[in-house]
Order: sequence, then C-alpha cells, then structure tokens
Amino acid sequence: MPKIEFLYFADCPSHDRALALLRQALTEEGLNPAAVTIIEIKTEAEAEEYQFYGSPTIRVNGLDIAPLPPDISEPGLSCRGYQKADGRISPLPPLELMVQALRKANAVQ
Amino acid sequence: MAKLKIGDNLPNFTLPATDGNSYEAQTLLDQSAALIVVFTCNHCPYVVAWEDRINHLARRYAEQGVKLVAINSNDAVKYPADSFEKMILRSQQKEFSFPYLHDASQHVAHSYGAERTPELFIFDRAGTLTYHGALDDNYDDEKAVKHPYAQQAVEAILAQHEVVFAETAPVGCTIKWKPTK
Repeated sequence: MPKIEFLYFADCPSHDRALALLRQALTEEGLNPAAVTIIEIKTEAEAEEYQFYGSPTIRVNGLDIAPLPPDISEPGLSCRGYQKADGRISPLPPLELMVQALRKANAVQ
Repeated sequence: MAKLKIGDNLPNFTLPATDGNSYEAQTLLDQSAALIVVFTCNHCPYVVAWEDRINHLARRYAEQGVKLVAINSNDAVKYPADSFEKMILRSQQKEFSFPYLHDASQHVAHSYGAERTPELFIFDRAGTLTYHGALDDNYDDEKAVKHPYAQQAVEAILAQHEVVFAETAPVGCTIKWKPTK
C-alpha cells in the first residue's frame, strides 16, 4: 500500500470534494480508501515545514501527483489550481491524476 | 467588517483601471440597468475557473445596459501575481470586456465586506444590493451548473422581478489582506 498524504488549507473550499475524489480513486484501484493521512495546514510556518504550496496537495509515496503551477514559487497558505485534460484550470484535482499516481506507485513496488 | 446586506445601497468608489481610466461606481450605476461588482484577482484558481464565465456574463448583458466591473484588492506584496502590472497583462490576455480595477488600499473591499475571490455584488438600477454571492453553483464544470445565480439575478432585475436566490455563499480564495500594523 503506497503512502497517501492529503494536505489542505481550510479556507480553500475544494478540499472536501478533492478528498472524496481521492477516496474514490483508491477504491477504484482496489486500495483502502481510509488509508489517507490527512494534514491540515493552518499557519505559514506549517506550510514551510510541510513544503505546502497550495490546497489541496496530494502526495503518493512523497511525490506530488501534479507539477506545481508556474505562478507558485514558495510555500504558503494558498489555493492551488490543477490543469484538466481539456486544458482548463480547476481548484479540484482531476480523478485521472490521482489514479495515474496510484498506478505509478503500485508499479514500482 | 460590515458586510453589505441585501437592500443596502451601493457604496461609492473611484478606482484606477487597467485600461488607463478611472471609474466611479455611482457614474457607472447612473449609466446602467444593473451594476455587477466582482471582487476578483489574478492568482486564485477559483477565479481562473470562473473568469471566462464572468467575461461571458458581461458580454451577454451589455446591450441591455448591464455593466460589470472587476476589482482586485489583494496584497500584491505577498502575491506578486496580483500586481497592477500583472492585472494589465491578464486583462489583455483574456480580452476582458469590463473594467478591471485596482483597490490597492483595500478600502473598497473593506467597505463592501468582501471576503473572497470571486465574490459578486449585483445592484439594481436604483443602486440597491439585490444579489450577493457566487457566480453559479459549480466552479469545476460549467456544464454541470444547475443554478446560474448571477445570470438569474440579472434576468430578474431586468424583468423587475424578485431575485429568487438573493444570497449565496461566495466560493473561492480569501482576499489577501495586507498585514495589520
């Protein structure tokens, strides 16, 4: 089972939907949907400590599921956008990205 | 912070825009069938997800006398992507059909009690706040929108009907306030 981390900043409203999507991805891949370490980032110091560049952030075995957006250069209490397959930006990470990251982690184990 | 309530009057302001002009809220209202004030910015992914729809809303109702202004109040020191120079670039790249105003002092955001980007305040011809909240109910997928709140509010104002959803929760990033001294 890969190590799954879900980091969020409560002021960014997409975290609930993102976590539900992550659990869906885990279920679809035959993994335990409850096996997610959830970390709430509350301060700039915590953002620095966790190298948190925006909410939500999902890491599989320590690797971010997506490259950082080009306009984010330092850790902080920000919301984060994800590029969808059609090129649009959304505050919600696409399910496909999560599934890809889980499959990649499983493949190397 | 005193958030505007439905029924309150338009708080006036004069702010510089990316097109080189200054805009006064009361003057815009005097020329409008309705005035939409959107607190927004460059960097927030919720704004990015919605900004084409905001642009479309402005274009769609322009001929019926509806005006839209967007205001960026974010602290550009902490968020350089929200600087006035970057605002100019953004308005050009996205071909905004509305004035994009800079609230560098953040006084306007405070006077409206705005908290998020994007956050909409829609005033009728008399300057009465008639709708406050989100553009619609789905930032992630325009095709899945069930309630286009702002559009419904504008249609109601133009038809002189009551707005059904007068207040919804704005969904987006928090406005990035300057450090308090």
